[in-house]
Amino acid sequence: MKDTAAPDIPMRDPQVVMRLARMGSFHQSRLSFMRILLRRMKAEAWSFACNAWQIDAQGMGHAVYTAKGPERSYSLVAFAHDLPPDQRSDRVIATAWDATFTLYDGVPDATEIARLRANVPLQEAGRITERELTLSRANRSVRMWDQVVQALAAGRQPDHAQVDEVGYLMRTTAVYGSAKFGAADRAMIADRPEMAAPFQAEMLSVYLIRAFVMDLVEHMARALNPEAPRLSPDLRRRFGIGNSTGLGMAPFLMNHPRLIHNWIAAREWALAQVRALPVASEAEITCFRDVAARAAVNATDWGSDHPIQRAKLADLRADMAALLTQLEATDLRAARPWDRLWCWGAAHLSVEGQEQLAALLLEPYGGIVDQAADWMAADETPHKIDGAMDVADLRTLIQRIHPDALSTDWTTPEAQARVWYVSAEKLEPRLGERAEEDLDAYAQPLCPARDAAQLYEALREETGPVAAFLLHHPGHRHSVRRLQMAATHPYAEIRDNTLHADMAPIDLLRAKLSFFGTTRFDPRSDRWLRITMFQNAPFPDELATADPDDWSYPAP
Amino acid sequence: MSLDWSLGEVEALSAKAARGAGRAYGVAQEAGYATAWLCARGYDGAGAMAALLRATEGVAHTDLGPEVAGPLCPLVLGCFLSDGGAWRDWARPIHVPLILAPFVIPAQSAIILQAGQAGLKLSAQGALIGADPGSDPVEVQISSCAPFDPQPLRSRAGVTPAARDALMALAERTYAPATAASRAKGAGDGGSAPHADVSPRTD
Repeated sequence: MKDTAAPDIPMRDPQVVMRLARMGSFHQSRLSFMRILLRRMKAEAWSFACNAWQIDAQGMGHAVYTAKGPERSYSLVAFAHDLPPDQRSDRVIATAWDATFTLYDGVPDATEIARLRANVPLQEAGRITERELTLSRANRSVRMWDQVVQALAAGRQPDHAQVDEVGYLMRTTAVYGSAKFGAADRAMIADRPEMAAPFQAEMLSVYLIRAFVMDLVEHMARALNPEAPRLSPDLRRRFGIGNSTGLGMAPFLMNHPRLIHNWIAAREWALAQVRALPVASEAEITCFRDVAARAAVNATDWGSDHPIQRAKLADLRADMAALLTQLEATDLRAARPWDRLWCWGAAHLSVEGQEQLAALLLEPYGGIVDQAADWMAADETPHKIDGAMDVADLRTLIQRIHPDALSTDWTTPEAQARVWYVSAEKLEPRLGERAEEDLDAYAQPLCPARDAAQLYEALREETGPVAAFLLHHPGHRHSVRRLQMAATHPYAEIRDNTLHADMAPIDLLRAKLSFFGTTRFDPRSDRWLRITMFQNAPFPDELATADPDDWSYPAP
Repeated sequence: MSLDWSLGEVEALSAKAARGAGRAYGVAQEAGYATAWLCARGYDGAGAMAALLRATEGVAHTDLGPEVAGPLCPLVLGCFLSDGGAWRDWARPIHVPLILAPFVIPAQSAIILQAGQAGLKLSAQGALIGADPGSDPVEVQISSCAPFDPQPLRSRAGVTPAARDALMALAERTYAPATAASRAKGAGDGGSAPHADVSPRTD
């Protein structure tokens, strides 16, 4: 991390940040992966072209969309299918979809497309190669799709209100990246500047899928009526790509501690930079007031039927109203304006509002904070254990990282109510109730706090180096590795109990999805939620003349 | 004929297989790493790991280590060495000695890992030259040798169908059999909601 922070504003304490309730309140920001991608493509003047469109009047065939950067090209190869309604399932175990995709490294020739046609529509049952960077699929929102096709075929634009209500024409049900099903390993692309930041291949895939989906719906309208108009540019932008995200994503935050640290450390560093600024310019103040007002509109427009989210949205709306009022009463031209505002927020806003404020404070300061995007990737080679560490020092480390775990009574039923496991039936991560099912033999170690407490107990009578302890107690090896990493990567470790009866997996999902740059999280239970990606973003053909960073909040 | 796999795939499957064979999670992580390391150097890492996990199935970790008589396990020994434990002449055979290689990369110089008739050369850059010593337990010696130019690493893993099947059979033991209760509750949706994700699944 570059050492340009004012020394008197430290980054936030990991004991405050790495809490499930706070992680479940994270918002997208300048350092979200969708925004990093669009900023780079804009700055480097990427060009975009639809190189193949071989789709018939029934909507079957393939298309190729190529994004060309300064050194390399990437092509979305899209296969459109005629899916019988009874086969349309968003379950990850589905076997047929309305459209299937891969992101190809370069520009595929006819031989390559034939190979991909034999594999990509099969998804998990097919094989891809090191030429492919992602594998994904999407299903239509049948209601929205039919409305748009019929409206355009009738020569009119679809209804704005209905478009806003759904927000997408297709939703992806998985976007697999790095190494999955034969795809290129992350290491193969990690040293390319355009792929260095996390999930850039996945975000580019979704960005191009969005362009394809809009072209496809207009194509289907023209199949009914050759005179059908295109969607108006304003309406077109309102469509994002939907996504349903469930438990499959939750273990990621615990299985990639170094990566998660780098994401959160980048944002916390950025926040500390802004708070430390001695003064703000008129332009910066205007930018912040503008984006705060738009975030308030976002909070109002953001709907959910789930009680957990409804309560959070009530908090957020009140917080945004309070923030706007506070801004009226605050002289941002005075010294240390942002730190004063931050401290006010920490005292007066809910966790939702505080995290929204953290994201908003970065908005005027791209010139300072955007460089942190370069530090968000991680080499995930297994962390080498320092076997020479004395077990007494390891116990001290546990006291520092997991004080709550050491004061938890792990014998109570609620403390270990849950079991993370993978089911044979679905090969998907699941969450079971320990009291109701005998799952301990299959438990995944997705409970760093509990495991740290158990390690602490196991070390009670031990002396000497960690290496000797681990030779006899291999069951603690993963915990030692995590804890030693957390000593230098403090945001790597979630400090709450991920086995607790009250734990809501959607908090884990939202933390990750906020870094993707998604908005309007809409939980459907405590275990899965719906989101929209790239909604209101400029399309590839608009990027050259659009602001790549001005779409995440509603238009003023 | 071997299959074209990504290194990440073979790493994930090997780690799961090691779990299925009864290894601790942290040791299984090392098994996955070691398999991919060998594959990147053109060796049959998946075959080696499958052979090791079968040969040592059901034996306790401590019974495969340096303090007990009997063949040594290269994962147990490898973890110990990786943690800073010192190499010495164990005077005991080691299962599938190829698997030691990822754990004994010299910090400064090149070494020869002599396993029976097979000699493997390792350099600080992680290159590996020499024949696969096979899976029978043999005694291993390590000595220094002149530095050499590293071979370029491979970006893909060659996995034989037999090794894949063996690792998958072990990996399946980590999956909980479905029950009526888990179907109803585990996913939290009663069977109608999606569980899709937008992430690479490296769990």
